Amino acid sequence: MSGRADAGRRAAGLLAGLGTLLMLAWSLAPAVWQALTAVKPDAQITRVPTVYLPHPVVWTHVVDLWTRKPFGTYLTNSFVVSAWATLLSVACGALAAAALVRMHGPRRDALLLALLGVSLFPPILLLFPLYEGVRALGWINHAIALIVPYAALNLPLAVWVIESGLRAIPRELDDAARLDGARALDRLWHVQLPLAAPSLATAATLVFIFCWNEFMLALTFMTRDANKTVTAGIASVSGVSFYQIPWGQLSAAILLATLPLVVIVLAFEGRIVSGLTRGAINE
Amino acid sequence: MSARSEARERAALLAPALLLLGAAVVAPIVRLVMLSLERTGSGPGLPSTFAGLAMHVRLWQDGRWWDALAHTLVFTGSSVGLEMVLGIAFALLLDRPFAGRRWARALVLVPWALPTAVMALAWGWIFNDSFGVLNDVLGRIGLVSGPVAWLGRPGTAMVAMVVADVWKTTPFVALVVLAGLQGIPRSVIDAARIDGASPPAVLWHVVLPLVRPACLVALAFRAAQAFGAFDLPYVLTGGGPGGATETVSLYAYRSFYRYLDFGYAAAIAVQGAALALLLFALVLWLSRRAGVDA
Amino acid sequence: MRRAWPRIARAPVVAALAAALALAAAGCGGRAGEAGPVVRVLLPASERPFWKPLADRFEAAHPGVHVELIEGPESTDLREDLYTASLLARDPTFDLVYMDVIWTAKFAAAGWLRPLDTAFDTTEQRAMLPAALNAGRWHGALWRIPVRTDVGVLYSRSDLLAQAHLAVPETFDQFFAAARALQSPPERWGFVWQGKQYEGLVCNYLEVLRGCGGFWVDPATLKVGLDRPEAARALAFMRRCLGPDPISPPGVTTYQEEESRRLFQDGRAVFLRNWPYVWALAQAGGSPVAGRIAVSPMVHEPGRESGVTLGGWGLGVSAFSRHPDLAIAFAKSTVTLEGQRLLCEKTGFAPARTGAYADSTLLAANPFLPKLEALHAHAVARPAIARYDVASDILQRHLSAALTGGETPARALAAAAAETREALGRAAEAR
Repeated sequence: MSGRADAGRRAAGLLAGLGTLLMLAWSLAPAVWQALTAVKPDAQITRVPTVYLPHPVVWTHVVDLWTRKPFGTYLTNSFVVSAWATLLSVACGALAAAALVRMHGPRRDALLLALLGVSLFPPILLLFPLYEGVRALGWINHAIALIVPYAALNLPLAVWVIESGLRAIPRELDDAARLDGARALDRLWHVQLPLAAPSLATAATLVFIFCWNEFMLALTFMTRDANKTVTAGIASVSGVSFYQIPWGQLSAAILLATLPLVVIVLAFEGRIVSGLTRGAINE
Repeated sequence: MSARSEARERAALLAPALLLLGAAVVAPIVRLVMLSLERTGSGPGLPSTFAGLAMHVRLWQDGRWWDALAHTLVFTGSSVGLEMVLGIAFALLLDRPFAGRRWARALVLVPWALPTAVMALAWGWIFNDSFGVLNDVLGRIGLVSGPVAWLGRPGTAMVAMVVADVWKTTPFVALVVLAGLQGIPRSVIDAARIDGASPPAVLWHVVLPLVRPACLVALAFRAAQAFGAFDLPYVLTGGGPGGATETVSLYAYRSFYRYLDFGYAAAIAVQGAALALLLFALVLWLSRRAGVDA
Repeated sequence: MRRAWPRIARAPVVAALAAALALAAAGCGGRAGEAGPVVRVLLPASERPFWKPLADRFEAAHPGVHVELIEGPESTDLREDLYTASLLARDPTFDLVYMDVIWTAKFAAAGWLRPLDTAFDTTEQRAMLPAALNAGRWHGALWRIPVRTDVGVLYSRSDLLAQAHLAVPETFDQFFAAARALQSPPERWGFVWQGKQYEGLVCNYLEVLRGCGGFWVDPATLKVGLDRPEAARALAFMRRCLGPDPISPPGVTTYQEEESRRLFQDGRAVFLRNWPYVWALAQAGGSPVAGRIAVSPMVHEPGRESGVTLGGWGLGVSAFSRHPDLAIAFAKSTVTLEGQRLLCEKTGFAPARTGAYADSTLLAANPFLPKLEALHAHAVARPAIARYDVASDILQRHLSAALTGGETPARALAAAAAETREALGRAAEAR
């Protein structure tokens, strides 16, 4: 009987392995296509029948892009805006989630639904009132014009994700800490958050990526090259002719914009989770 | 601790979030709701006059509004449905231990990490009838006999949009559900195994129910995001062909910035959001009655 | 009962990062001190290098003044939205508005532009191409100085026509006959054009509409001509291109300028309707069709006129600009002969100044110019109405639906006419 169970487990393992490969192929195929396009000579990009592998590999698109536009500045701006917005959003979200997890029944539901309801408003239309406000405050071309709206727009998601993570923590741990006399913030920082580390990391990752890739607000609020984020910078990538979409350069831009993001996420997600859980275990 | 100081503590915890939301999201929404009660003129300075519910009534008689609503619901329903299934599958696959799992998790995130507006341009090229790589691949495999104009027919254009959206946002669902999966204590699963349950049974009766709250979060926010999707339809189809992929967001945006019909655009946004919220509340209530606990 | 901070907060890496963030945020958005007045305009990124010499020249002539050419996205619609957002907020950021022909009425009606009749007097106005200048007029006043102009063009493969002993077609029937004779789909199609649901579709349609003797909207009387037989015949022409017995690829309903140009330039189409920019690219070395192209206005019904849709770009002065005099001065500097030379020589743009078409430098750089000037005689201007975008979107949607089978052509045009009348009526009421 154990032989059959073993065979079953092996089959399941194979199936899962195949599934994982398919999943990776599906996720990466268009991205790989972009990467190939970024290093293809122009003539081969639009050739029919389709040219799959570039021969030779050219780096002119990437080099042109880096030299013609201040990509380094764009990346720094994107990082600053995204990091601050993420910090703000996750911090406020964690605090709110801590409050929500102690509520129950209709009041909690109403609050959560209200948060979701606010997200249902097409964010693109908030552009106009936000622009009015940002202009009135003199924030045009300042990073804060993007940081505050980004943090606010992602707050409902951060709250929901973190709250669902906090809810999974057994109540007894929190009660024990309260009996010990610890204040709410202390309990949050030392007990709840470390245990909800995966949710925090998830929320932070999702918010960061959203901020990095947001397009319309970034394009409208930042008119100066020195202040533009990476997505606004890409918007003005141009080609040889005036209607031409410069596929080579655009693909290179996508790569340059996304690689740092993937690296950052890879580096920090692991760190946040392990750092927080290690902290909890040590106490 | 007394109930009152507990309540005060909770209020203090909620305050920063509510302040941030109030200033940067709720205030603009209120402004838009007020705007939806005005009629925008077309003279210099675009003067507005109070019009009560006139813009909302006008919306109900607008065929284009009902079309946009229908397109949005079809898009949201198909997209979110497919994403949830794929996303949960991905999360389950990524929860299993295997070599290189950390890399796999990062790579699966790539579609979500790519900027929508620019990728939509790329998708447009992929779906192109004469130059697109999709037609090339399908032709080589033998699935199609001639070039298919994906974005040139109403039905296939919507399919293309859904495919592009599902590809991009499945990682979002996967990530949220994965966080839920990781929160399940090992002890619970081990206990079920020791009881003699087979892996599929463990999955169906133990894991999935425990991960339902995370699934609900993913569902709720994906539905909200899909409903308000703008970058994708704007860049990929422009609402075409023949307005067959125009969504509520796109119609509202056009009414605002192109037609300078602010009152009407605000009415579109307000009614769209209200309907979506009603729909979601309905789904939530139904799932409560069916015994799903969030 | 103090507990230690979680390990992560003690990591030196994180501390350094936090410090860097704080510093960067403090420095971000800082404004460099600006000495003198600055004149700002938002341009497509691809054109900026060609405007730089004009800006430098102006700065040299006006010491202390800085002309800032802000790079914007290539998409016309996006730039229109950026200008709209800024002008709606009465923002003085942009002093000059780099405007398409179809923006004039909308921007002027909203009160976002300054009238230019006093600053740009009659003598100066007479030096510009009349069609181009009129695109800047609304309700009798001048709101936009034309800088460069564009007309729709029908490109033909002269070598293929010569081989078959055919002349460049002038009427619809000649056109279809030639296309059918010379095409061999799918390697080579008869006719490629822009059929996607966007402004370009309207441009294509208007040329055929003029060729049938019809009209879209009369800006003076606000009469709508879409439910007349001429409009139906024009739509029938477009539908005929798609089948039965098509001369255009089915994907033409998703094409914009670039897709159609590529097919033609790769030798895979006999006829192309597009803008003049294609000429220079198609004639460049390495192009499969170099030296084999003929140019003519769009075909028409027998006894009717050809139509070419008027395009082009110009400069308007923002009503909220802090330096309107400098802005106007810069705009005027772009339309002197010298300015037009600087702008048009390297780019192949068609200048807006009549005298530039006789300039030897420009003619040497772009031998296509005299042809372009002649084509302006057939120019079809899009109606200068404040809610132009509304009317255009209505037409685009219904044309696209009729072309892709979403609606029958009769229903499409009837609906388009009714909706357009309603929109124009509403606009008249709300005044």
